[in-house]
Amino acid sequence: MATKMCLSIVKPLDVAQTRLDKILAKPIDPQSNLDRSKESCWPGCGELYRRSHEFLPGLCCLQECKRSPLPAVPGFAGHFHPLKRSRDKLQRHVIPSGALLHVHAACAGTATMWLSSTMICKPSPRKLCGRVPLTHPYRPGLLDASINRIAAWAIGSRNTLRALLWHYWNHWTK
Amino acid sequence: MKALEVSGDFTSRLALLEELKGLPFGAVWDYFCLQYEVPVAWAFCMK
Repeated sequence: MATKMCLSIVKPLDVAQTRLDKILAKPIDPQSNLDRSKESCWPGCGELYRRSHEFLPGLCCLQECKRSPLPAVPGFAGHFHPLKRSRDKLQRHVIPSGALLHVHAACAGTATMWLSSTMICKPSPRKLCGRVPLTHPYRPGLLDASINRIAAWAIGSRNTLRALLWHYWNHWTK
Repeated sequence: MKALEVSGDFTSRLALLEELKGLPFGAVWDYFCLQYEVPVAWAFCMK
């Protein structure tokens, strides 16, 4: 049975809802799998037209209620980004079972090009993750194939753990 | 850092740069790595 959303009657959302209901119809043990949706709200992009940044969190909450008491469906995943702090995004939602955070670890998802926003670095202790300007003054351009990609992935992943450790540590010291 | 830049070893430069950003917390991170028997980043950039 398709989840009826009163949020929007826009056709693309109907299609998305139908397909997601079909995908989520078969229960999966949350110990081995957690579903998530990735909402986006980029100016001028299709997500804004489809209002997926409102649709997907709402759908997740409904799915969560349907699966109660299993905390199967997390609600929110967002990028770590110096200009979009995850804690600000999380405050928008009421999701009792928790959240999954989508982290771009270096260039893991980009096989042919590097985007500066996909690089996890540590610009300051106050920010969990950030980005490194790969466009060095001496080497202008967005592509940077001079860095070993496996190493960059390892550095990015380690930076994520390091940032989490820093925050745990900082919390304890207070 | 300059030597790495001039030599074109940008991977090591990135690793070292990230280490510098962690100071002085880096010592705690290094100990954390040692506990789990994984190399610290400085060893990582030394290849």
